Amino acid sequence: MQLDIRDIAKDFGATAALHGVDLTIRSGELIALLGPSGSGKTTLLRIIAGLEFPTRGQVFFGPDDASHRSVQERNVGFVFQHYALFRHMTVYDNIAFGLRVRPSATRPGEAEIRKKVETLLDLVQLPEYGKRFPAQLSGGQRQRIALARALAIEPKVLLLDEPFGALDARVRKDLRRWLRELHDRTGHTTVFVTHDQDEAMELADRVVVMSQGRIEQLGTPDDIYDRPATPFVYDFIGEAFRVPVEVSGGAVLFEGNRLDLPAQGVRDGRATLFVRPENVSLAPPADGLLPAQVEILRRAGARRRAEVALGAGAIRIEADYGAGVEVALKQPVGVAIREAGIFPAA
Amino acid sequence: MPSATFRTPSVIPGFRLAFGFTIAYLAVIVLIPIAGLYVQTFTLDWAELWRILTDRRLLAALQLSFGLSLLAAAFNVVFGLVVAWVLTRYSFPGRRILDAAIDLPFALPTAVAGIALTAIYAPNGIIGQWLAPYGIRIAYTQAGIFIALVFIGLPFIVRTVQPVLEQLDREVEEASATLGASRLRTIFQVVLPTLAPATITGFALAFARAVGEYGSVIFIAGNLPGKTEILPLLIVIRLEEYNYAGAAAIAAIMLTLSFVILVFVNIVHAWSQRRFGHG
Repeated sequence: MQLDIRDIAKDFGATAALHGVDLTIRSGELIALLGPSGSGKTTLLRIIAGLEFPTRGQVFFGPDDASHRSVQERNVGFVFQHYALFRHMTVYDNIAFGLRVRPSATRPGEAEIRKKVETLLDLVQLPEYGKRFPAQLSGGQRQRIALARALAIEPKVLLLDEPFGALDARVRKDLRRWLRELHDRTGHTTVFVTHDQDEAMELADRVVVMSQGRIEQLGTPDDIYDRPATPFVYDFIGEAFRVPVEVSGGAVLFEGNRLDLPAQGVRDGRATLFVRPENVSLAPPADGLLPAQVEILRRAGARRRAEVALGAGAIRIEADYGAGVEVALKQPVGVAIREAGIFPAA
Repeated sequence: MPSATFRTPSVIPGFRLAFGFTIAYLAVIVLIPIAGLYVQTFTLDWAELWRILTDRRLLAALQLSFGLSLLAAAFNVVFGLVVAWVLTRYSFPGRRILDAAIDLPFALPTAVAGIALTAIYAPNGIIGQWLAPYGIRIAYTQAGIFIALVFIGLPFIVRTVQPVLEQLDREVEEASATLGASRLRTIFQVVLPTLAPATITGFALAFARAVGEYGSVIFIAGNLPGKTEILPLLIVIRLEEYNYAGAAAIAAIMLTLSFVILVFVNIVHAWSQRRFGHG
């Protein structure tokens, strides 16, 4: 089921949570809505579900305008951050709930419900847990039951709100991989909200980066990481350091030194360079390299990391370097920026 | 060491002192007076006791007091839930004042409440005068007693249910809606079951209070023997006749019945907690 979101805006009183968002989610796609808190990602998800109604705009499920359909009519599977299981019901009754509340004309018989629930318990790998109550499960197990419950109604789309937010790091990783496999097997169009970029990058086919009620960038994880479209995305995804530069006649200048970088269509004037540590090379000082001084050296997991002060010393960036590079504290070093994003200064 | 079986190690010492105090306190405040009541009752011989307990006037009062108390508590369950729901779920001007007003039946001297209710529901009262032309009488009838018992019981339900409602996760209701459940179904199958243990506690409290209520009822009841005469009043009448044993006998039967009902309610409560309280 393809999802079309057209010009969705949402105001809460005087504050706007979303400003005219357009988004098309292809059938069978796994999409992440990624952004800091307050970016409107959860509001967008809740509007798709029908838990919230937009101030303006439309939501299409396939060819149908679902904008005025109630949440009950939309047939979406929604998984909540805190699972929202019915604690007075067994796991079995939780999963069967969505089938039992159907009008009698479309309600399956108890035998059929039993078969369906058992299939779903197998799918989420908790086959023996039907008789337990939610309180008797771990967080990861509860989330898998919540997913089984959402899938029981054979939803058109699956929506997950920070599905791993309340879990500890290891369970989160396992569950992430498991969700990806499950998606590949069942093929539901899936949208999930997260503020964790690793989660979005690892799990999603495409990532929607949001900030302050707007979409900053929509693309594959590679697009997002390698070609951030806006300064916000540069800052939010991965690491980037800002270097103020001057653009003049297509050349990029830092304190008078010409950098070997294209101006990427930025007009003459002040601009900001966004530099990732892995795109910086260190070498002995030489012509054509930016003069700099090593300030701090540290080890970051598998990488060696140097913090260097550029030129006059006011601007510091970080660089990853290999074992063959000679660097020493407080010593001059030559810096080459191999790749960087450039945006006009705000 | 027998005490080791029900004493778990704790960072706060003083089990013996605290336990001893609790037992002594309960004995002085509750157990000894109640025991005295039964001792007083059994100064009567069996034939006398049987005559008192099968007295038509007593049986009528017994039926009236327990019947109306159960009815009033049940009525309060329904409307107390609605009031608690409105107070926790909606914000509107004056909500805090309304919230505070719920406690008034607790705070008001019961006689004041009784006189106020009588004034309002009497045939020439603010509400009574509109009902009188249709032949509906509230004051000095069983309906009046019922209204007084509802009045004093309301805070018990509201105050026990309210905190549970406040903690209820909205996500659970939303989950129910996304699964296709209508609003009514969500209320009856998702919200109310979670409220069951608290509601039963509130019911028990409201009922216990209603059975023993005296001050607010006697003014509005009219106190016709066999018709609108409540048990506590019958006890007072016996006391005024210096018939202490007779009064104690009525009190003992009342206490025994209340105890049986409260034990039953507690069993239901424990069951509902097992059934609905998983969380």
